[in-house]
Amino acid sequence: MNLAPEAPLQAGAALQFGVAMARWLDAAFDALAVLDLSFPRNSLANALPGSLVGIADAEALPRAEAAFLRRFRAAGGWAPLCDAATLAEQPSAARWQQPGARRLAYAEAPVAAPMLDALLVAAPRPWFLWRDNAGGEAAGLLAKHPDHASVALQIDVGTDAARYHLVLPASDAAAAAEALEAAGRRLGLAVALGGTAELQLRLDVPSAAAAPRPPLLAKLPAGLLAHDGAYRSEADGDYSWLWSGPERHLRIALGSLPPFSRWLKLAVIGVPRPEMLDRMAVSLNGDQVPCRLERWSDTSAGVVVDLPAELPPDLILGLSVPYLVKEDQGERRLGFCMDKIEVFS
Amino acid sequence: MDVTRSPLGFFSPLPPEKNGIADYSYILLNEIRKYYDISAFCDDPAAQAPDGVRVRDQQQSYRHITPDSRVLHQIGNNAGHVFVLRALRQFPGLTTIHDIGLFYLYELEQPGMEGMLAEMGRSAPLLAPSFGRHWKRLGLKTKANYALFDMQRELLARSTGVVVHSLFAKAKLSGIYGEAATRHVSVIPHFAPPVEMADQQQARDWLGLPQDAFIVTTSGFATNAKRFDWLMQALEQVLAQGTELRWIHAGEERAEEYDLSAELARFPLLKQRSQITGYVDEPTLNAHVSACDVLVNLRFPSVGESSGSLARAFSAGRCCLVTDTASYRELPREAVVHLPLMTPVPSLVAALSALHKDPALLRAIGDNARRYAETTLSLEVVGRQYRDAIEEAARRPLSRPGLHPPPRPLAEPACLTLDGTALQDRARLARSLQQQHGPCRVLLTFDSLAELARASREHAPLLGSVLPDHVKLLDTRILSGAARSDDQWPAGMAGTCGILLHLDVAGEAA
Repeated sequence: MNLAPEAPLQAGAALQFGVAMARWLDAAFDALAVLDLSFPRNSLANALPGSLVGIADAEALPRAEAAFLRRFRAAGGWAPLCDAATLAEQPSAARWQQPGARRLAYAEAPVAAPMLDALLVAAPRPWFLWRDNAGGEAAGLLAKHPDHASVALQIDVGTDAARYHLVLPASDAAAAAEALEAAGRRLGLAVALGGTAELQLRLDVPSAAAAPRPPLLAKLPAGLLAHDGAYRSEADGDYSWLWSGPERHLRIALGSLPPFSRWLKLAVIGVPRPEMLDRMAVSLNGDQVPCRLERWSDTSAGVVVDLPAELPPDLILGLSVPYLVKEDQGERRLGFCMDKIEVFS
Repeated sequence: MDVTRSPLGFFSPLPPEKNGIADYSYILLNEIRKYYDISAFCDDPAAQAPDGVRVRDQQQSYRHITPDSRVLHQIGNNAGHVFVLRALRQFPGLTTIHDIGLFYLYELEQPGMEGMLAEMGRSAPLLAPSFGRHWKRLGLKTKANYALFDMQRELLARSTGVVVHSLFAKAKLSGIYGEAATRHVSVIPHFAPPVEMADQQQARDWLGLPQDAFIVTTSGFATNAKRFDWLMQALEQVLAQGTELRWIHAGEERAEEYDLSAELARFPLLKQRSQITGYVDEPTLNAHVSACDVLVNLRFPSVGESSGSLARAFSAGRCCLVTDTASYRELPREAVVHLPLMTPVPSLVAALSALHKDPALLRAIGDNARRYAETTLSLEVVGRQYRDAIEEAARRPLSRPGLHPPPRPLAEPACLTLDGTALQDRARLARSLQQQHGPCRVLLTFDSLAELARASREHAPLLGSVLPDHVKLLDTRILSGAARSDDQWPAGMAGTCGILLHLDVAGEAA
């Protein structure tokens, strides 16, 4: 089996690859803990809740874009975006921090040298997974670490294909390939094993365009959102909520939504004054878009937003209120309180 | 010139923000959208723009700005323009400066005072050391800082073109920063807003004012610079001479700055014939402007500001009295009455009396004012001037830092080495740091720790006396000179005895 180079993708397929890879990995490896360095795409993290997220190399981005992305904090605001300096600051409850976790760092672009160094000295050393378009990252790592091996992975969706390189200690390579092959079969998908110099695996995934879709494609609780608000999510058990403020504008990095997402509903469970709901403004990737309210009470509603037909993989949802109100007991200046975002087909 | 709707990024606050420049921008956008495909980048996602202009999140403007995009920034001296200043650093373009000085804007924008102190030093090098020291070390900052120190150097340097509203503003910039730095500054007057002004009779009916009264009107916030003291003295004298009139101030009092009501109590004749309306909405303000016989708009001292009420009065064909100073001097002599600054009260008395007696003169000046509004200040003319300025600026491109990755930081910041025993020359370190911006290290060398101790005694406080005020001291290490593993010598300086300073030198803000 020879893996084909990547070709330009059909609409929807780009979003499907991340979901397919996340499911494949999750089915293959127990206690999988992912560090997804594709922010703001969150290509794997969106399908693997609890993953850490970060930017592969913020210093390589244009500075206006980097400055914007650095505003965000993940996990409801509790976790800074991962880089070499903040790796140790990630919440202790994160799966990545748990002993026995199978750590895997994923990137779609070259990773900053300090971050790569920090990961390489970590114990246990994580596996690395690169999308093919990250250039010679996998080859460079293998050259520096001859005790490592690479497993080439390909996911086919209809006529589209995405290639990946899994780099891991050579002693783990055969078992990992075997686990991936078995996982593909357990998922009911066609999987092919091949290669001579390196192991190769190819997974055939039916196109989501042809598959029946449930109305509810994804539910994103407040405690898992990456946003640029100053307040962190609050929680009671598994239930979480988030207040916007002290800026009127809150931006939420939705990243790669499931393919064929058509509309979303943000559940606003409270505003200090009823009129604030009527005057909410919404943007997608910075462009004003209309919204409609599904009123539940004077101070709560579902804010419904239609999504564009061509979903960008780095979707940022912006929401704003006309003014802020200081909370009764405390110093926070509050806009609106939300508990989840639901994405529908 | 053939401009086929090039993309234009327009950075400015917009309505509903209560900001005069937001209103200005809305009106201007409505005019120049015929020339450009415009994205208005705002802080407020609910901002309102004319049809056909897309409102976009300014934080995500990088998605739309290219190296070739036309860009126009609207800068004013308040918090609503902090994002515009930051956007200008990322995406240089044409910049309209509405207010002169901008000290307050920079004060709001800068995270600490060191950047301000650096700019103060550039603006007025002889004054800055004293005022800077008072501010940083004694916490003393007076209103004088806002008048003495100009913060527009960075705007001039980072803009591909600059628009100001008066020759006065341009001359002031040129005087401070020189001909070469201001060659790209052009003057576009503040347009007369395209509002339908009612005629005098309709406006008086609507406001319930008598048709036969001679009405003198002022407007806006009541501030010291609007010289109500001069006006009230003059009006009292005119009334005492037997000339009947009414005075209406259509605007809000700012008692903390100027207690208009309390001052009015000192003028008994005027008090009986005056009205202070408090804040009025735009239609009511327009009606008051239309209803008056004379609009008085005084300024002293002036920082070169323009006045929206004055432009409305021109559109309504009203006779205006203005001080003969700053940008008001540039108003056509036949369209307004200029009052000499040296004799403001007698001049006001003479002018008001003459206009009261001569309705034909009043009408003639008002008619000239209307023609001025319909020609030089017309929105169409101003729109064309903006188009020309935008295109001219596009021919002087500057690199847009926001579109490029920042340079990779050095593993170790630069290190200057100076002889610590020569510190009695206080300006020496300041001179050495002139070309430094951002993180930097300075190693003050001494022959021995005893020498270092002696210098500390003789020049106490040693660092306080040698570090310029715009430099922030982040960390201090005493290097003993003995070979110890925890000493952090700069490369090539191992074994040196001295003081290693880690500094942050304020300079270019971005």
